[in-house]
Amino acid sequence: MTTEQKGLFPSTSTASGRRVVVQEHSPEVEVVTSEPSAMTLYTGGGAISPQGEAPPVAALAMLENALQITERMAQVVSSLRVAAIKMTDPVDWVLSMDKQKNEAAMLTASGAQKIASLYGIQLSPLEGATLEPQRAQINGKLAFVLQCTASSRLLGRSIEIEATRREDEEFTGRATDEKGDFKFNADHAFEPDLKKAVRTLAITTAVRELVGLKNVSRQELDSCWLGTTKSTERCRFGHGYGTSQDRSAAGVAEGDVKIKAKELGDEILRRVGGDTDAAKTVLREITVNKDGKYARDSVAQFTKVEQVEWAAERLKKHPVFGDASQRREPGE
Amino acid sequence: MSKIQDLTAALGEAWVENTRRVKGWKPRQGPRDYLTASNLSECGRAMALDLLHPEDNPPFDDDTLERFYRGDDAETAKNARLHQVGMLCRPPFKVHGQQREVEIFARDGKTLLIRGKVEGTLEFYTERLEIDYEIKSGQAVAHVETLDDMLRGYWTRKYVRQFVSYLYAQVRGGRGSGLGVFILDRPGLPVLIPLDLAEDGRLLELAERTLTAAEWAVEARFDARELPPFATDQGLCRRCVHLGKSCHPPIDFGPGAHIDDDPVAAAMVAEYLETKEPSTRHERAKRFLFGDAKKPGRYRSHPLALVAGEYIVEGEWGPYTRYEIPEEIKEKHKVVDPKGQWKTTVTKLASTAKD
Repeated sequence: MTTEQKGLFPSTSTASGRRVVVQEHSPEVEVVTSEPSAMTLYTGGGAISPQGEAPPVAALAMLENALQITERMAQVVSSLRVAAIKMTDPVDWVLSMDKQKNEAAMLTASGAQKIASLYGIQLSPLEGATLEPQRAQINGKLAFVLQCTASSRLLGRSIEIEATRREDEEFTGRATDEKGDFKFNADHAFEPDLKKAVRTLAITTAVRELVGLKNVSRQELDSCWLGTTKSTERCRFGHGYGTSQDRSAAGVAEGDVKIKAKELGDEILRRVGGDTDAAKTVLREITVNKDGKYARDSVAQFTKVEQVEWAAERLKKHPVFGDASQRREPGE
Repeated sequence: MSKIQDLTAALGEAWVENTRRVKGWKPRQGPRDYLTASNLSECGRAMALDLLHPEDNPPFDDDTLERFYRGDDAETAKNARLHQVGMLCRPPFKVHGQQREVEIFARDGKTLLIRGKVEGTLEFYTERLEIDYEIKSGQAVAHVETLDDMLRGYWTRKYVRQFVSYLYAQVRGGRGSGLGVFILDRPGLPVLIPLDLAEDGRLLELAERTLTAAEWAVEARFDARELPPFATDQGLCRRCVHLGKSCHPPIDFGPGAHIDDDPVAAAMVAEYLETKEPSTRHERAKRFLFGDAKKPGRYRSHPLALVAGEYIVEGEWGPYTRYEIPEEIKEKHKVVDPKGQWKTTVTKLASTAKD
């Protein structure tokens, strides 16, 4: 049985040409929309009205209880946002901090996958295309690009997105050498993995943009997780919280690594005669690799025992503070 | 002399090295011409892409390789036991054809579709009957009791698909009885699950569907046919190694949350949450006083009890009808409906984004 003006989503059939039907007195009381409707959930922003139709605001203005409907829709959208955050875990967010110490969180790929079903996210290829990322060259580097339309059935919004991944980016899967063999840190990205990274990015971007979880305040996350074991303390820390080496070392370095790293630090300091600046320079020299990467400014940045041992070996061979110079007698 | 910690570390490294050398596997870089029986997918397109793009498979990590190793160990041990068990069994059997290579051809009899190995055959020589067997072990079969359980699990369904394909191909080739038995290794006695292709229509249908899909996959491999369609079950896609690499199915996360704005429903949900805690306390007190199926209540067998000088608790024996059905009868009538119950949880959205 259907009636009009029941609940807080009344029928808007006369105004917009769409139907919002409330089924009453049934165990499955539900709001049924004939199609994803901008009217159903007007968010107040973005392209929410299909072309050629009256804008939602104009349609609403024709209704007697427009204000009530709009307020209720805003409430529902707000509740959905809370529900979405509750569905995620701290590891699904990356916190960043600007120079004014404002902290904001961004939803990551794992989180986007969790909440996509809540909003009924759909990615459709552009006309005449498929969802297969297309090969491109960006600054001389191989890249894959996926252009598509992303929509939310629940919000009634759709946007066009473009996701791109270049082969010189990190975390895009396996890499191969010149012969095509899989190698860690090789120059050539493995194309299937790079394509998959593009697809993942497209889904993540779609969810973030449509739902508005690109820049969420830390307070909002904590407020939504109140009363649970979730906390922003366990989120991933990104830009603004020190270097990536510091962050990874702080979390991983334990036990033997810390002890050995401290021993190495003391040894360097001893060899340079207590000059901390010189010690820092020596540490950088013995930790930098042949490509000029991974130089460490502090022994707290070591995460593995092997790294400390490798640095200790290089210290022994250091041209100025190595073992050979240490054995020299004063004045020699 | 080295410290025990050093020696232990060396032992651990050598163990990993041994695992890698014996079970190490490198993703194949070029297309292959036939499917491997242990990797028959429910999705025809995935099978075709297994042939065309085997490089999509990521390499296995050391833990997974070790599990493969352990699986081999379990098979070897169980195969040895079967020889002893065969002599005690009535009717007796002998084991032969262990690790026999099986090739499954298309209906034309020429095109190789699937290649694999059958664990072995139990020959009940007094009955003139041969039954193929497969040994499976590991976490995937740890809680499997029946064929229905196997058909429900994603990984165990793969085992069934593999085995029934062998059985079906043998029957189709005029060999074999269409009978098989799974020997599932786990702590304690193994679980034995019989398969009868002629009796169980589900198995026959699974075998036919698998081989038809395999034929399509091989045809697609040689450009004789287009790729099979995308799977409709997105759960399959999520586990598939080809997703996003060589397979680009539509991305659709469903209709979204159902918005119910009925005040009656809202009131009922609120009441459910409000009464949940008192109801739990009530149930706890009831269990303490009157007991439940597992534990008798505090005043059982006491017709009259005075509690703290304030309450009278009365009780008496009454009739109770129960049905003592033997386990084997119960098992016979056991039906597990994958959609038999709907689990519901309610969470209050305590705060809103505006708070």
